[in-house]
Amino acid sequence: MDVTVVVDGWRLMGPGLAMTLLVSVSVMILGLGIGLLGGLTLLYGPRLMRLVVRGYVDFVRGTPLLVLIFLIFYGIPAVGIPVPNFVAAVISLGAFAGAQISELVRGGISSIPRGQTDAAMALGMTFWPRLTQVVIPQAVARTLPPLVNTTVEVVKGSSLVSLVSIVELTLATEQVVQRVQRPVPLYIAAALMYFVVNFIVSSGGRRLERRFAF
Amino acid sequence: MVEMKEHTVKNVQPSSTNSRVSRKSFLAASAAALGTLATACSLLKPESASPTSQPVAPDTGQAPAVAAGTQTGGGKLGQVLTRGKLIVGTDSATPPFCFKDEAGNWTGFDIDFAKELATGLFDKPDAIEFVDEKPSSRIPNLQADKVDFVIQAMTITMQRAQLVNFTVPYYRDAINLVLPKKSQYDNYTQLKGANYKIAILQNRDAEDTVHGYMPDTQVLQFETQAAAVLAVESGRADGALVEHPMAMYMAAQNAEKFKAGNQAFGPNNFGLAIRAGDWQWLYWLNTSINDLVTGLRYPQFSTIYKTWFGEAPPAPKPGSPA
Amino acid sequence: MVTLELSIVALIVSVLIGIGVAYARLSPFRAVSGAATAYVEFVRNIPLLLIMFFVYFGLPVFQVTLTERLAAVLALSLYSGAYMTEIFRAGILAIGRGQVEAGQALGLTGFQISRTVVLPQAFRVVLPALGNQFISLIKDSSLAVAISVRELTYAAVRINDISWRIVEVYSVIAGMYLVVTYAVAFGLRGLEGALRKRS
Repeated sequence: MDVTVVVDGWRLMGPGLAMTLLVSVSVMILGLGIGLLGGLTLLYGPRLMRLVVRGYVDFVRGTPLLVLIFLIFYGIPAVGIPVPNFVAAVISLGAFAGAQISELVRGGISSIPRGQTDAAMALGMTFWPRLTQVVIPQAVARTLPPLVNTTVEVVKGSSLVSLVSIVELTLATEQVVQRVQRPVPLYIAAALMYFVVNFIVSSGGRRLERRFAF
Repeated sequence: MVEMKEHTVKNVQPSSTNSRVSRKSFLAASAAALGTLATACSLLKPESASPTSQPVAPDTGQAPAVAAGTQTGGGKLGQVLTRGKLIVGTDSATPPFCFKDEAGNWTGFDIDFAKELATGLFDKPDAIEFVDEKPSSRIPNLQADKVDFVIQAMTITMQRAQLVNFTVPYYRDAINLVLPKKSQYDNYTQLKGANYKIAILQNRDAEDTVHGYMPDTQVLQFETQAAAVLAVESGRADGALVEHPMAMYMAAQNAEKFKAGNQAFGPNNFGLAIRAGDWQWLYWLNTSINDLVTGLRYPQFSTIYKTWFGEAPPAPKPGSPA
Repeated sequence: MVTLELSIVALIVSVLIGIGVAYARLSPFRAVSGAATAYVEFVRNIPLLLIMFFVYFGLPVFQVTLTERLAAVLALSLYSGAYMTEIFRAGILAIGRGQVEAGQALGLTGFQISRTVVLPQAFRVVLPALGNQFISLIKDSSLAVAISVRELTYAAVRINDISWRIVEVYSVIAGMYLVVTYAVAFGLRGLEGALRKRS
């Protein structure tokens, strides 16, 4: 097996890895924003908004990520809004992450026993302080493991934006493979890079979990 | 605890205790799907009814060029000039036309040709950004206005010309086979019959093209031409039908693995493709291509041509353009 | 429809992989459980697209050349098998020691205990998670388009070659996936209910 081809290929794959990280971080930020809004709406919003968010979440859950990415990536210009490719890709992956995180937020918050909110109300807390000081801190601990899962899914999902011309790690690897025609060492190298990134994410998540555990 | 299990299980779906909620959510999701469809239908119909209108707002927010005003008045040409650089769709899997070198730089005949066009617009060959798209995304990217034009070893066909506009040809192509080095065959005429597998770029006419020259063979379609060659390398196919220069390039670069068929065939023309309907952009591109191939910029064109194809292009003769 | 074909075959294969590797993980031999854990951890952290490319383009280097469909099924099964392993491991562990001991008291061998006592109960326990995984499998099968398998998403890519209406086409495709996944979800809920009545 020719390992030197990986060393040469690093010149393309290195920036590809950087792009993967950039896309993943951007998507998680966007997804957390959407997810928080979505989750809170599902729990406390008016009926119409709840239906809308529910529809959004179930639509995203029922369609493959690939189809979702194509739909949003080509759909945004179709309604007349020109956005750069990177932004469109982040939005499409972000929609996916946002739907998952909405469910996580909803599940996490609703798993806090009523006793907590009752106690807080007995202490005279109104809705927002109750939410932010009592419920959410406890919910964070429970939501963290699935959230780490979602982050890993996002990093893996970033490989799909290679199909809409974002030069992240998978596309960069393909570019090298197509020139040197040696798939095995290059794909193994790419897989190892993804593994390392996700392993760091999972370990970091576990450490965070310990800090938040009661 | 439910949450703990979800740590190891990938997906979170409404559980059976939420059956009432999920019926509502089913309706909501269907409504969302239908809504998307309806929006898409209504938005795309006016576009196809009048191909000369441009509902996608250019970055500058200018109205589509209606009057025959100045060149910078509007439309794609104006948009590009205002933006200050070209955005070009191409792929990295079709050497020697478009690919990336070891340093990761875009290189190839199509790349250099595009840079000449950038020079014509901005006096800077580097006022250009390349978007790496799979061939199956060429037409969608043009329709979605993601690129100003596509230069990607793209064959002009009458079917494609109904979806996008092509410029005059900038290269006359032929196709050829990439064969394994140890293959006992020398060219396409020897590969007929169902026990041969031919790899080719995925496209609408792929089967017909292969069967036109190699009847009854099995056709394997791939996302890129380089992937088709990879199929030969891995023994999946007995030959890859790609552009003739690419077959020569692959054979030269990987002489221990491949050889090219000794007979090129199947003439076709390469053109740049643009989104349908922008006549000013098309005219500018056509004018510039002619200028490069037979006009003032022939010297630059000749240099590029020699670099990639090893010989000078036919020299234009002074006198009547016919 | 090819999509369903791929998903169902991959489901069966990945369930088999899952059960097998789950037991491997629970094995007292460090080498076996270590290898199993390595497989699960590695596969769960890399993109399915990469696995598909590797199976399709990489394996032939080792003289293993599969057709597009077989390659897609193998890639999907390997990927899903890692998740199935975790599902079954949790299910098997959830069946209390009491059951195993009862089986031993009845004079059954280890293998018989697994087959007749533990696994059927574990299946019932993990059925929702299995259903989820099947739905994921249906969605993941769309990636087979990347190695040119003629399934649902591929049809969309081909249609784009001959029509203006990109967004419409993908909306319809999304709609079809939605219909399939919801049908499966409803079917699974029915199955869960029926099984619950039986036990």
